[in-house]
Amino acid sequence: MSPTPRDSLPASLFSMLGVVTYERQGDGQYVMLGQPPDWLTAHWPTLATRQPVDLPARFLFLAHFLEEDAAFSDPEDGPIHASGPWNETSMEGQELLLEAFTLRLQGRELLLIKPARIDQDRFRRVLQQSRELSLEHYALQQSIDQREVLLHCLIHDLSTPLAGARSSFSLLREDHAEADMESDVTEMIDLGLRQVEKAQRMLQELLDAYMAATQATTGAPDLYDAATETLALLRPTARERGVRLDLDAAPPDASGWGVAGDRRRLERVLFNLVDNALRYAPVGSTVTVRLERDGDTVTCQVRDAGPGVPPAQVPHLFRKFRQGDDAVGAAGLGLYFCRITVEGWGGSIGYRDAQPRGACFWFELPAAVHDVAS
Amino acid sequence: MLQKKICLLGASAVGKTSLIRRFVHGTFSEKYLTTIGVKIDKKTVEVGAATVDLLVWDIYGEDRFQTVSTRYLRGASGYLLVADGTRRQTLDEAHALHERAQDALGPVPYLLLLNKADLEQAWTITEDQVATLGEQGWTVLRTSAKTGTGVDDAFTTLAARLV
Repeated sequence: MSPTPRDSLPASLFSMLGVVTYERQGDGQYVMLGQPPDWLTAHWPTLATRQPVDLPARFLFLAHFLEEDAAFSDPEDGPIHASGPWNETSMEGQELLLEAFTLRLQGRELLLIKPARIDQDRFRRVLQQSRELSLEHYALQQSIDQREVLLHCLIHDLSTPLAGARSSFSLLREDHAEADMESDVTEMIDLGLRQVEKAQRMLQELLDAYMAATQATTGAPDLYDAATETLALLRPTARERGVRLDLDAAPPDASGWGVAGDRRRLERVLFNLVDNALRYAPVGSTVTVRLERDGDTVTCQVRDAGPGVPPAQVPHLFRKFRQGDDAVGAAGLGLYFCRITVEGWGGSIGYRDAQPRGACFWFELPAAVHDVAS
Repeated sequence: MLQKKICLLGASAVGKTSLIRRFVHGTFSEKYLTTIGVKIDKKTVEVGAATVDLLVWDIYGEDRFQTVSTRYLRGASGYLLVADGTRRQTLDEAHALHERAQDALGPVPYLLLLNKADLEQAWTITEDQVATLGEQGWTVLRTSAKTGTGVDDAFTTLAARLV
């Protein structure tokens, strides 16, 4: 096929770039200029000819595009009108993504067609994967929503009878104390009460862990205030166990003890760590909560003088459903809740042995830019 | 013979391509293959005494990755909005596309197809929502490209409104 002198250079250049150039004739047919690109010869050999061809009849999309081009083309569109990508099935049944452009040049109407960009396959794969991930994410979200409903139903349904049972045991204990009943009956009542309280604590842990995983941060609570409040709440328990509670912190300075987080969950974190320490602290010892601020970070340490954590258990301390060998915890979610809550606020949490003995749980949080008051 | 261009519009993965495949070729594939650009299929339907050549434009789905260009809508006589009954937000996306289609085309006929009727137990689009749309004048049809339920009816109902 010899090139026509008039069109040879630009059309051949286009051909080398994978673009086929047609010129519209007066009768609405199209004549190819230059050489046909390889893809045209391979997939539509009957169009790779210098004979006039009826492209709109061959490609439905082109028929509409060219019609639209004639009807809607205006100076604002500029000299080139692009079709956008469209899919076309080749003569051997293969699907190709093509793109067309019309161009008016020196009174001639040119139509350029090329396969959509070379990286189209990669784009399709990325798009496909992105959309599949979106669908999976949606399905997962739905599953989480269903679990949330189930969890709340469970907690609600269990909390009410447990609260009733706890009240009943408490009343029984008071009655028996007044009646000076046999000690084994009182022991049974106390046992029942402790079991109910344990079940309530497990429910609370479940709820806490769920909330930590799903709720967003909502404020900049004051860690000093939260620690003071938490220790006040646990003081009766400490007294009952013969353990002293101590808050070791410099009074709030101008910058305060504001940290990233929200007050309610921060107090739950503190409660879990101090309550945990109280369980292991020997009678007569002290559980100390120490707060330190170092630049943009606030650290909280909770120390007890108990036996400490066996080294083999340390790596598993903050995992879900983890319990110590003595299983004095509840659902094994308390420390897990602490970890995901603190990490969710951009902080970190850990454990080290206290000196000379005991356990030291610590967490650090980014200091709030503004304190609570502001 | 009348020739009419219709478009299928909807969020990604609602089943537009599958509906067209079911309608034009009578086939269905479980495999989801995202559409890039557009693809045109043609099918002749009888509407009363009239014969209509439907040029069915399968337009890529809209989502955060791709926005539908209204230039593909030019010259359309009507359109089918498609939502996935198992994903409620695809109904919102159909609403948004409907507004853009009306801006581009004017008040041409359209139907809303709630696809994936074979998964009705997993639907998150409620009867109340469908009833509300009906009160607003929308024609809502349930379809399943997988089983074929309601598919021919959807296309022929729209075709009937075009002649």
